[in-house]
Amino acid sequence: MATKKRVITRRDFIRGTAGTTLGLTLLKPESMKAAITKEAQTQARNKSLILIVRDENVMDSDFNVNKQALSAMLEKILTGITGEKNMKNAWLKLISPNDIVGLVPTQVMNPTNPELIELIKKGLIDAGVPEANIRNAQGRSVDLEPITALISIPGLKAHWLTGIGTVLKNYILYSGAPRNYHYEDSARLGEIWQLPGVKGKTRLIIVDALRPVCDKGPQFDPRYRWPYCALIAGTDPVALDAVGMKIIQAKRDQLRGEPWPISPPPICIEAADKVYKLGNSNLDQIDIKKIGWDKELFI
Amino acid sequence: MLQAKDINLPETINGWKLEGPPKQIDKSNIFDYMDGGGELYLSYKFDHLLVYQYADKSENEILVEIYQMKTKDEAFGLLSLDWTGEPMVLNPEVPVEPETVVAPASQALYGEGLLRAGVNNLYLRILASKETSGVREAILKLAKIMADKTSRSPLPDIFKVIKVSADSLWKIRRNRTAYFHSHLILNSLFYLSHENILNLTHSAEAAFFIFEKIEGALKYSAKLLVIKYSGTARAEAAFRSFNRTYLPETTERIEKDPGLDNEKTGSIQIEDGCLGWKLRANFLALVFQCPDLEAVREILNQVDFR
Repeated sequence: MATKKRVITRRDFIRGTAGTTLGLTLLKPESMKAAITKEAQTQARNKSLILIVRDENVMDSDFNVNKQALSAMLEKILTGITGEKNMKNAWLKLISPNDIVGLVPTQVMNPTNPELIELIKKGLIDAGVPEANIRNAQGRSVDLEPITALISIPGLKAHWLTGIGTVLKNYILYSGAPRNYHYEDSARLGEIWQLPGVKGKTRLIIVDALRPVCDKGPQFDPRYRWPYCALIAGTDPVALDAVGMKIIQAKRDQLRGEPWPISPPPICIEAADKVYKLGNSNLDQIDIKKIGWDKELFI
Repeated sequence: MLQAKDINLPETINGWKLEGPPKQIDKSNIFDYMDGGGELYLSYKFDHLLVYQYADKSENEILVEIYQMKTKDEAFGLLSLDWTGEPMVLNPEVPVEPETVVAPASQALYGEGLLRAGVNNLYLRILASKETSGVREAILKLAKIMADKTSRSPLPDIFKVIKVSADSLWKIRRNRTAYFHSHLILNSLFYLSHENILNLTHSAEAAFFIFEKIEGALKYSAKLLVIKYSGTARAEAAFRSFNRTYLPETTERIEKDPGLDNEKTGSIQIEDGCLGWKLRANFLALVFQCPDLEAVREILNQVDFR
């Protein structure tokens, strides 16, 4: 028997029932539902570790990136996430020299800083990954099949259709039909992470939060871009978006001097947690470690 | 109506050099050009876009985007989505429009290297890659070249339904007033539902207002949405859709309400305050987040559909 489609409204968010409604609305086909449910039953959800590293000198007054400072931040990210003592060992804990590594930066509007992409590439090469095995894996036409490891490097930004357009949305082009994941269907962004060519391949996510965008994304408006001077990293895409959302929300409130809610609310985050079981959206379930500059940290 | 192609931009301006002919973007390639940002322009009545680029000797860039919209209301709508920024006068020979109580009179707004302007049916967006010395002047000069000689167009007709009451303490916060046709825009202003529960389309016109009331140290706020549909049946269908989805507890009551003088009005307390409605002919007004039912009444009294 066909079930009547439940429509999520503002009232669901106020009542705290959005997650339940999402669960009733999403998860088709049945095969995916069964796979996710089985996986969720076998995995005890631990707290997610998110690391925020900031350096106020990572950019000059013209927003040119200081590569040396950025390199030091990246090292702190990698050693902090892995517990290793140096960058090489840290990379080797995440990646094997035999891996075919796909780097997934943000390419348009608020693009990932090229200096960060270069440093990651260099780190991988220094760790023994042949340069030929490191590929740009952003885009519709990427062949994901040979890629064995993905490193997602999105820019932190608000998005006017999905609320936030950072980690979960960074793989949207893999769907082949990005427009199908805007509007009400942005809740389904998590399912892209379950696609056969994608699932289980993401070894690390480093959010480029040097100059995030807190409104009007993806179209660029410089008034809503600010020097947060951070890299934010972890392996849980949901936790990273939850943390990013918290930072963006705080900046918006500061800019307007009054509550300025992210709108529409990013339902993809809660759905990725509650429905697709990709990670933790609740900040109580996220262990946030902070290193470096602490002015206007917002979290 | 102005044609974007009729605007002749100079080859050089304040040391900036025009880089080749414009790129033309239409509905078929707008997503290639700006990703999901394309939805913003398609949610208004978009015709096409011309994109020019200037560069200086240091390879800094100024991007000039001329959006040709199908009517002047569309350009106004795009500008109305953000009234912040420094108001700029593009043509000093043209008398400045008097301020209205519902929306700012600004034609152009500037901030940190970005100028946005509504010039008749053209929406201009001029963006510098870096706000270096002299950029502001160059951008303003370009905007002035593109500015029409007519004064800013009058507000879209839908704003005429607002009859501000001098007796009411509830006042419109003008710099939050917006004009649009799409639930995507509505959701970016005030989220109701990811689905189009008010049946908003290009054939409908919508205006969004924030009302405020200040009593001593206390400030209250409420949101008003006014929609003009293309016909009475569409307005009624939209109201029924909203009602069933957003206010299911009142569906029976509203559907049985015969209305008075062909006008249905009502109110209800929900989770985030009092909500009120007024439906008459092809117009619908909804007021949200009022602190009490008296506020609903006072705000809806400032909406006159007759």
